[in-house]
Amino acid sequence: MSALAQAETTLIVYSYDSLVSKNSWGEQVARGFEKKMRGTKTPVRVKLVSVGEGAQILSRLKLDQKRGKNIAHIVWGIDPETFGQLKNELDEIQIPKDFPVRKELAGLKLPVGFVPFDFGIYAFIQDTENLPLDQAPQDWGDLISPRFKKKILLEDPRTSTPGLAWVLASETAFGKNEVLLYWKSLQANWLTLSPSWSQAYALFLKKQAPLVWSYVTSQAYHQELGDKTNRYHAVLFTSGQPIQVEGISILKSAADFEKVKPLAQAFVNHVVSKESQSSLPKMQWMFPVRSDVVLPGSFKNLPQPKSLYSIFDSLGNDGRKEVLKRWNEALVR
Amino acid sequence: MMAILVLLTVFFALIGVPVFSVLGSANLNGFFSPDILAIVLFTLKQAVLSLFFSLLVGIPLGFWIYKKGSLESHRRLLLLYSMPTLTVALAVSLTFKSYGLTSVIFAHAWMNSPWIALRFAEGLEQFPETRRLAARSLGASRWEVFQTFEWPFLQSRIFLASAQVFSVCVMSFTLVLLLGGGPPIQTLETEIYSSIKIGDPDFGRASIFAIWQLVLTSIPAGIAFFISFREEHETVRLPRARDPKSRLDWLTPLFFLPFLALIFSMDGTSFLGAFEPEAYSAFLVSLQIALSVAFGVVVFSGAVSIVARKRRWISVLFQIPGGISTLVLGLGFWLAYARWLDPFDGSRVAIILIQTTLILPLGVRTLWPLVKEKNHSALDAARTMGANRRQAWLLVEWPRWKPTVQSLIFISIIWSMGELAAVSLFSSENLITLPVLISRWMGQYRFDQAIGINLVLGGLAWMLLRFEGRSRGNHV
Repeated sequence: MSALAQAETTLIVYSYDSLVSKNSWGEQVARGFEKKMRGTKTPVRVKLVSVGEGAQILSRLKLDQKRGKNIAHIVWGIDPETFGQLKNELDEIQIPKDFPVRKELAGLKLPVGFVPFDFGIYAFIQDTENLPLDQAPQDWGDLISPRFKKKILLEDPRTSTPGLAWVLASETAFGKNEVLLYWKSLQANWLTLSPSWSQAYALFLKKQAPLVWSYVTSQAYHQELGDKTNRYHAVLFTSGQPIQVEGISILKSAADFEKVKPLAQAFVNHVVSKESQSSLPKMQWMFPVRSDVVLPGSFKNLPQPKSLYSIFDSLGNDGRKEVLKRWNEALVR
Repeated sequence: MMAILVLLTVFFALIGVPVFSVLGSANLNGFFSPDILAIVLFTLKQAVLSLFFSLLVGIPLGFWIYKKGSLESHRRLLLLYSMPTLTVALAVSLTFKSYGLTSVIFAHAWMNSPWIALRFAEGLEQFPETRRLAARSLGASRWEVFQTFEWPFLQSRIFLASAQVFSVCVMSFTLVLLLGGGPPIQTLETEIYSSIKIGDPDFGRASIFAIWQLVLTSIPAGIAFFISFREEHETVRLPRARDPKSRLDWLTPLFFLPFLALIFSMDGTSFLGAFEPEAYSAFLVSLQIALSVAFGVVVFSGAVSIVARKRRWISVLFQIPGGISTLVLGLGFWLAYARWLDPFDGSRVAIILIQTTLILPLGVRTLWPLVKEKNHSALDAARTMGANRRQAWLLVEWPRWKPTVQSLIFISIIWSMGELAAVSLFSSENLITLPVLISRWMGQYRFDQAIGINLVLGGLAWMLLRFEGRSRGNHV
């Protein structure tokens, strides 16, 4: 080793579990970045820290503040709502140049400085072996029909981001007042509210119910795994589908922020590079944000939503608490 | 005096400081607000109902174990405790396809009735046979013997077991979250979780729930401690099998039927994925932690029991963790010691300390009777014959201690390997245990492999329990 070899700088990245766990897309991207920086003047080690579910990132950062140890340099996998709540702690990031964005994102109102790296389109996935294709619900209103009694698996909005998404999406569909009755009526039809997407999907695959709240790309996952008959089918609503955009940001609260800032920016650029984005669909099972990435066949075959709408815009922590309070009261009443 | 000071310091470090770190931020203004009281009442309702059904199943089962049970039945029942609650919840939901209060109560009764049964059978076992025979020879019927003599003897034991089951049900988390199916099935523990783990943490609200939880668990626990302090029989001893080779041992396997749903739902090829290097390294991490926890439990429980010989209140003090949930204790550790125990490097030390603290009550109750029944005359005789203190203890006391200590070690290992709550607060990329890997794989569409690990955990627990039985030899 050269005597002049530079000491490694450690970049600490907070994220959610499935994005940065072993053999994940996130891990591959991080190791790729380390490799790229090896031999340069600024070698880097990327330390990926899983904070659990995506909804727990904010909680972990606040706990860090409480214990006086702001050590994270990057948050990876936040939605625009969390971005809004962290705004004072985030650096004004340089949006990478030459970054052709996919058309689905073009119409969305994303916060200034929010750098998206992937997005998912929420939809119910239908097991057509247990619920024939022609009996699929057409829109939110259909779900309260008695024919769907105990046939729906949803996530708990208090503990899961997809769970909060269906609550917000249904509120968008019915309005703040009418939705209260809708939630109460839907209660008879859901088999359970699982604490996480993974729990709900596990029950779905074990044939507990034929409809689960998930992502359109779940259909692509099953096709890649050999579902030739399209047994698992994404159900699209006439009113359109809610979209979840995930972003990456640099935190300025770390003690060594100034020193690490250029490297953090380089990591962000690497995450949204064509090279990293190309492997995203079949590892993260979400859509890449770059339009110049060629999608795999299973993604190209996915049904096209009538329209897309964002649901987390300017929700804020109080907004989240308020909507959950309304939802809770509607069900307990 | 020095020993007491050391133990008190350990108590404050492991229990006092973490709990006060959580409670310190309580906002008492909303303590009696209607929405909080509704959750308190619901928690109480589900715990009381769960206890009622645990007793309803547990007492007849205890009779059956006493009459017909075999060595295997005892071990099988203990195996239920080794299964991660995630597995239990999945097994219940796949078997009954039902969610809500009934499912939660069923799962609680399923998990806890064996404990009631074992304690009940243990009481019947300890009841003096001479008194039983004397009453029968004087013409008392079996029922009259039970009503007049055995029941008063068993009452306090049942109350102690009930207090423990009640506390476990009040603090139950995973089962309520997975089987409850959302509001109105929400308990103090699930509310603590949502207050601190999701979004901007609300410590004030979480602390109110934590205080209410302490209130609910400390009342029965306090009465139980009083009884155990007074009667000094709060010990953990598995009942001896009446007929060690009983062929009528068909009842306890019924308790494991719901797990068949997991096996039948699994794709065999995917299951093989459970034997990946990732699972192997998680297994090693879990084993290292479990061995350290077992060592810590034996050392601390032994020290507490020895000191408690002259000051019984010390052992009562170390029963307090039985009324504190893992979530509250884990969060307390997080807040109190995170400056020194960096969670992001994977705080093995924190996980070991939290798990050790939570098993301490069981450890003390297990070792206390050994200390109490110290064989002074044999020790004196050994000393007179020239043995030094250590040699005398090894010669006289160790053979008596060995099977119980081995049992405590095996039970601690089994419990630690399935524990998730403390681990999830302090795990990191460098510190992935088997239960964490199960959760992680479930998030990656690898459901069958996750179930595969569950079965591996169950198999491991089964093997350890067989060793446990062998180490007890004639003692069971």
